[in-house]
Amino acid sequence: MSSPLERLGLHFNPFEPSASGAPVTPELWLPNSWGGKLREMLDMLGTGRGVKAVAIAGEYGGGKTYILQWLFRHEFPSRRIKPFYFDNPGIQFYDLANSLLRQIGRKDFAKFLWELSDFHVGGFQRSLFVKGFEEYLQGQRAGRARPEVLPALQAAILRAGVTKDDEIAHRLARIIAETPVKPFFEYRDFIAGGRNTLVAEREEAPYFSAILKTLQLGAGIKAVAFLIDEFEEVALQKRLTRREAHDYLATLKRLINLTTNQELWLVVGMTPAAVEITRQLEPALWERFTGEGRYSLQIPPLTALDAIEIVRRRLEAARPEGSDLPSRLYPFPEGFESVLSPAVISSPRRLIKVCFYAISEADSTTLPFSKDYLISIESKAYPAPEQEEQ
Amino acid sequence: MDDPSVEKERLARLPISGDGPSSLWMRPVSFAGLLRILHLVAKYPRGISASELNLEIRKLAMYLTRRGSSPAPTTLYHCRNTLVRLEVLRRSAGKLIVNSGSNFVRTLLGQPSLGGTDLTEASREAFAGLVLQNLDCKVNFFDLFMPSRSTYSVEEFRVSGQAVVWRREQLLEGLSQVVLQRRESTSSLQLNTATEIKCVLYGLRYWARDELRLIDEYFLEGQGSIMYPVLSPGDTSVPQTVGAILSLLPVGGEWTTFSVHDLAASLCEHRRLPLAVLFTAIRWLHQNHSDRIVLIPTSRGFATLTARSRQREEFALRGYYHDTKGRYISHVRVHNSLRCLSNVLTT
Repeated sequence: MSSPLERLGLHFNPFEPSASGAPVTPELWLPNSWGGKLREMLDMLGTGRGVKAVAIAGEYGGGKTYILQWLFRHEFPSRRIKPFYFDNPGIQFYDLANSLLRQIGRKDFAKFLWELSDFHVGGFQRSLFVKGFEEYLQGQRAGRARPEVLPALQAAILRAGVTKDDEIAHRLARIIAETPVKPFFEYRDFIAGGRNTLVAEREEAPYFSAILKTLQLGAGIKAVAFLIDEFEEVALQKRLTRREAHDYLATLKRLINLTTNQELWLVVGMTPAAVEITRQLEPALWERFTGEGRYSLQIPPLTALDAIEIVRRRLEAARPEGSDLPSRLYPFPEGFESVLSPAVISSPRRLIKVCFYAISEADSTTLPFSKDYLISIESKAYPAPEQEEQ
Repeated sequence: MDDPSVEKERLARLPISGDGPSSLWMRPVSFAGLLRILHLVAKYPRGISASELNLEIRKLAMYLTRRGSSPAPTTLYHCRNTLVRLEVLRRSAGKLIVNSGSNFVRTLLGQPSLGGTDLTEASREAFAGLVLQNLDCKVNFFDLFMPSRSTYSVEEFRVSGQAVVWRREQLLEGLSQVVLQRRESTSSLQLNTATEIKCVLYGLRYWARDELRLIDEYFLEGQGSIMYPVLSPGDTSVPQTVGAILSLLPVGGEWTTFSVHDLAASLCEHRRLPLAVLFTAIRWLHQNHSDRIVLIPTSRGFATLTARSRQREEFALRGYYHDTKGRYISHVRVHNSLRCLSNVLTT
């Protein structure tokens, strides 16, 4: 006897009930009206000078996270841009930088620096590099510390073009040298005033620039991109003090400034309310951020054709090989988009959720799904407000 | 049009800036409670002393605080003082008696006392009339809404009053002031002392917005709180408001997203509708056309980004539609096909 899913011509249910973010399937598809405009913006920003930032505005369940994941998995790598994804970062610049460094890891970062320096280290210290980074770490762990390596590393870091600042080069050299005894690090290491701090007061930004440069040179990439999801959720956990509220905007400002001078891209996903409030609080910042609106994408609602394509592609990914089915949308009927309400068809999250339940509740229903069946599924997933209130 | 010379003269005679505290007697009292006190005093044609009145009010639980407790003597003083200042009561030989020569007072005596904080519309309008003919109330607050007018009725205030924005401004050395400024004009009032702020912001503004429903108010980040006169409930219609929302939809295309704040500005402020009417219209639309309306919530934390107190947070949230799921709705996405209903509903 065939399983319920086999009856539907599927290996698995290709729709997820949470319908939150992007599916794990490797290929992500964007409607042309979304992807075309985004590519156009990235092309324009890539050729020009100045701020490289894009704001993506959309309602909850409207596709912001999906777009950021599409940029993360496909679009930025295809442009030789290394993306870093941040979900609900803290309110301060420190939180973001800290999150970045945790993603990279101290050892990998030190190795980047090591490899960059390798070619530029001269004199008797050259022998250190011959056996490679792992051997160097082992030697350090075994207690054969070599403080004399610091000046050579510092000089090599300067020659590698990571920074032009002697002190920053020295600090970066220490990151390599101290990795064996402290294999992790945080941005706190760069904040002035703390124990063993690496950074002079108010000098975080140049260090952050050096970190970005290291990533860029070490990974052989054109630029680094920060993809920040749910930027507005920074304030969700608690009531912010006035200073903290302004930290939110200060972080945005600092990031935007960095995109002007560094090979850094910034893409921020925001709700329409976050856009509105940021624009009202800091009109000049908002204009600068979005290039007077040119680099702000208001995610459009899905069209019926978009919805059909999403359902078709999801189903296709779950088909057993050699399936012979009456239609590419099976078990959904042709014209299902006119059965479901416009509110469901236009919203990715609602569409995916309704499709999930249509598949998971289909044990004994007639196939392809009837109009009444789809309507009953929609009304269960999204009951009308009157029914809710009863 | 504003007449600058009239305006200058009017602003110059504002007692708030120099005439001392005597004109600043307004406190956040309950007008439903005041009506009950008036009815009580009316039972004593020869008058009643303040102490006897206090005893009676407490005994009959005629005036309770917002927390439901018996009022302090100071609260009762402010109730009596408000009634006297508004010329609802007058003092005669050490006793309080009803000022039955006033039409507004006669109207109030003819209205029933409802429980709690409820007032009939007629009672509300009569109290509003008394407030708007009081010089202290006018010069300290209401005149700012009415350029070039020295006298005006409740109806005139509702129909021709202009919007006023208030905001806190930081001064040097940690001091702050509250500025009330008429929109599209430079006319303004500055409130610098705690008494001024208490009387104007939490006295007169509270009366006008919550007790008398002469104005409504919403908050815009970066601008401040926008207060605007509203029509009386009999002159507002939810179906017409629904029609007005739908008439904003373009012909063709599929969806239009409206910001609730923008709707508050374009429909409520310009058409002088209370925010509650807009929210009822949105609720009606969502309940009747949920297949073509998508409510877009925002995070409470972000909506109150710059609020520094619980009260301020609640105030910032007034401008959002609070739906049946408890979410704060910042935007509404409407299918353009609903435009065809706008004519039906508007007429």
